[in-house]
Amino acid sequence: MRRLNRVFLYDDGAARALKIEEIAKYLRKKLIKVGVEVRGNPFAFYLLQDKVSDYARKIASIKIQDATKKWSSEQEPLYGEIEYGKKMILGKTRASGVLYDGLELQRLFFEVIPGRERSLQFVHIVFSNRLFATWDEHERRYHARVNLCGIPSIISTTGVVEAPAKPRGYYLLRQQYEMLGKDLLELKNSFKGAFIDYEDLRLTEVMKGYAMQSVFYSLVGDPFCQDKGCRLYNAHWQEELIFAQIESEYEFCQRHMSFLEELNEY
Amino acid sequence: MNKVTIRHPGERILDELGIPYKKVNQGLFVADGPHACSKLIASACDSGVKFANMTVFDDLVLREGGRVAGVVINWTPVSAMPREITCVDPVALESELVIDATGHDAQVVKKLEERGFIKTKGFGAMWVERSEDLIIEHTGEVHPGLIITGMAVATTYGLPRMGPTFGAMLLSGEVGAQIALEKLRENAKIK
Ligand SMILES: [Zn+2]
Repeated sequence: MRRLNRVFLYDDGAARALKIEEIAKYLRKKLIKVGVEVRGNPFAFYLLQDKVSDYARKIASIKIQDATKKWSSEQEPLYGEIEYGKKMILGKTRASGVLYDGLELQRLFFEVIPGRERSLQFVHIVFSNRLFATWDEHERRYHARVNLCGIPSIISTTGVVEAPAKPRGYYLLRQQYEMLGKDLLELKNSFKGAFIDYEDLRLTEVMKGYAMQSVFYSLVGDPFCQDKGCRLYNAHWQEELIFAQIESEYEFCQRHMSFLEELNEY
Repeated sequence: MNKVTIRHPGERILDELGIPYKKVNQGLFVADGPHACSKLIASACDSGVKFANMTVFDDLVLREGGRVAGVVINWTPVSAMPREITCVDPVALESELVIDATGHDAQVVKKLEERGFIKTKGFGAMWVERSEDLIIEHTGEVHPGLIITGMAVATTYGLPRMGPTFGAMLLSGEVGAQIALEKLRENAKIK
């Protein structure tokens, strides 16, 4: 098990319902001996240097247009895409839904982390409202993700709504709604509570578990757990996600509890 | 039948134009389609808009550096007539700005693409259910002289087409108008 030096939390336009300070408080409680620092906008340092346009262009060029085509570096972003990218970086908009290549996005965030902190002793967690996906070589398509662990770990407050599958009945009804041109908001209301929605009040609670997945990635190299009741469970359905993060009677399984105890004794 | 749904904050525009609507849910409103559309058209006319009825967009007027400086239109019936008798000349309308509000088709942008000035992105990721905000945020000048609004924005930038409702279209139009005003003021200053 690796020793942790510090945990940094960043806010890249994460959903308003996300209380990052509350997550910091939670992590401090779980990781008694590790400092937890809230840093705000990951681009903050670069905002002073007039590099906003550069990063806006870079981010716009990692947008995925077609989920069945792997991203390639030759994309030339349009003017409006760069402008949108700027507004996102400057925190002037929280409009989300553009899909990005997750690994490329992680690489971009890696660039803005100070060099001396680019190691697994430091846990960097970027909460973002950007939606990202990773390429599945086997299925030859992208899959949207809630989180992607690494340096930094990125966690998407849009991904938590869009990536894990909603109840089957929801998709059946959604087709009907689309055919009739009815508004999906009405449909969502009839499934209220069955999945995490935008500006969901349960968001912060759910994200505590995802933050812990990033911590465990740094600690032991594996963020996930097989136990469906453990916060480290890699949920593919909304139902599983809500169970692991909210409804389960325990937070962590025996094995992961003992990891934490060991870490806190150190 | 013929209902249009509007999400918050789109109802503000319904209020401004005096279009009646009902609240169906938290943040969701519904209005009568024909009533809403006719009021929209009427208030556009009240503001001085001139409609060229029975005409179709044919081509762009391009100036130095590929700047869009107007459109070429033709009479709709011309396209239905045999080629030999369609001797009606198209009409070129010069303007400081062109706004493409042709919806999914993005006809003006597509014409610009044919000419090799821009590359549209097609439709984007299909699983996103909330893209109204994205459309509004991407509304604006896409090429010198050309502003895009509404679903034409989704086509140009490859934004998810699912989700946007009437409300987003109204708000996108308003943003497009504000940007057009700014541009016209800038142009006036330069002159
Ligand atoms: Zn576990």
